Amino acid sequence: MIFGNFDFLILTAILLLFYFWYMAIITRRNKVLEALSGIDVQLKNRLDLIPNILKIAKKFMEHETEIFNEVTALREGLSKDYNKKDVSEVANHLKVSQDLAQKMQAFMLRAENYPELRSSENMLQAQRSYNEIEGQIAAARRFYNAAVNSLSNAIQIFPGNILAALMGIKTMPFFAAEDAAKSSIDASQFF
Amino acid sequence: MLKFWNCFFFGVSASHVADYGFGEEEKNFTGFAKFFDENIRPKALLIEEIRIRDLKRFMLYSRISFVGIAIIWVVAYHIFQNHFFSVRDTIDIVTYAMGATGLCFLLPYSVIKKFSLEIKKNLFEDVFRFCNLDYIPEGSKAISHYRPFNITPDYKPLISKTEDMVQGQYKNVDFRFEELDLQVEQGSGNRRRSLRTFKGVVVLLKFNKNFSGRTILKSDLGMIRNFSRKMVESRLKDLEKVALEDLEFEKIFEVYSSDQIEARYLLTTSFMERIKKLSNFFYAKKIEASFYNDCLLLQFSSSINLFKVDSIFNQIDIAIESRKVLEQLLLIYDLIDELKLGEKTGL
Repeated sequence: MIFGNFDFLILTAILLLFYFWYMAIITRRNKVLEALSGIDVQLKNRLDLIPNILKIAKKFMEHETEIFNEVTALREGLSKDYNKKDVSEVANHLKVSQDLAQKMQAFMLRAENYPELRSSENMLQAQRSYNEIEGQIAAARRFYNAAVNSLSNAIQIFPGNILAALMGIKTMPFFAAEDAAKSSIDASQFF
Repeated sequence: MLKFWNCFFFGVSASHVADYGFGEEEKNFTGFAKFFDENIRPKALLIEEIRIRDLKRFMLYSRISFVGIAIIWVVAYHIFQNHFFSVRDTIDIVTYAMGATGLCFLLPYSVIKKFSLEIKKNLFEDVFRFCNLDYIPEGSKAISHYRPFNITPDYKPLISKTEDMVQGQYKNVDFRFEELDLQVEQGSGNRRRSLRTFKGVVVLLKFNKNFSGRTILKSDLGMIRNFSRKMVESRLKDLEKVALEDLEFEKIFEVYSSDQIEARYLLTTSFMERIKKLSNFFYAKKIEASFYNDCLLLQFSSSINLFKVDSIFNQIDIAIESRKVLEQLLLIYDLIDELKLGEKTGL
């Protein structure tokens, strides 16, 4: 007999440990993907709203073509599909969304110089919707970062690091709060 | 207690009515100082008259009760002296005597209850009138309304009650709060007894937006008990635990939700701060909350009695009592502002 009873028990325990760890990594990776989808839903809402804001503002901000073009370009960049399992593509996607948020904040600040725009009821309503979506994005980001943190713990602690290397699973990038989201825009200050 | 015996032996004397003023304007209650001067301040004399009248009545009934109690126990003692009773009979007689003693206390207690109700009507109704709110001293009497939120404990309608309900609107948001005293019956026959399942305050806020998921906040009972509660309670079975970043909040609450993003959207750090403030205000031992459909229900387990004046023995400072009410409202208004409940975002 190659294995005694005691050896068999130890082997079973090790196999079970690896299995449960494997299960934990898969569950947490799926949670990260779910959270990423949650971010995308909110980013999509933001993308849908931006053309409305630009349309309302365009009547008043005719000479600000540069910022209009920049926002439009970033919006188009963010609309593209990406591979959710590819770490660099996810990082790039999140970076573009941060850039867009910052650009939108700059756009809103510039809109401050147009009193007629500030008093437009349509713009106020669009502003409220935009703030609401920013709040939702912030919540989605908190969920995503919590899921990434949990996955990172599972794949960086032994024996998770061995399993993750065998499975080809890497830690995902955190979605850092952009300056725009850190200080949400207050409509009352603005108009 | 000293005041009671002082009044008991030496009687009640009418005191000079102090002229309490309400000097400052509170946030969200602009114009209250003027309203107070015109509508509430003139009632100080009336309120003091009610207090003196009821205090005299209370002391009279207390004296009658004490005489009644003395007679009951003298008679009981006399019966024991002259007759021989079995242990069973002795227990019965003592039980009856104690029951009769309890009944004697009901008489002065009824005066206190009536006094409290009258003050509520004369003082608090005016404060709420200023805020365009309705005040119903007997409560909504509709406990079943809170059942769908899945945090209300079991209760038997016949022995459970509601009290001191305030309802109205702030920034187009409907809200109400009231006291709940929930009880169930246990055992059967002679062993039947009532058991309190909840006493405290509930606050119900109606949003202008619907929730897609269900989010429930429960008190943190420690790792093992949290786990067993999650396993046992059917209403938590479909919900997932939400780990929040605020460590202090995590120590107090366990959050469960069917929508992780929505839960985080709702439970911001400042919202949590306001919940903690409100809980301090209600002296809550335990807080639970539930977001469901378009409403938020907050449940504070507490022995607090809303809108209860200090004591019948002390002159009522109407300015302080009014301020207490406004402070309660202000905390609820802050919560509504924080959650932007009234905001129509067009989404």
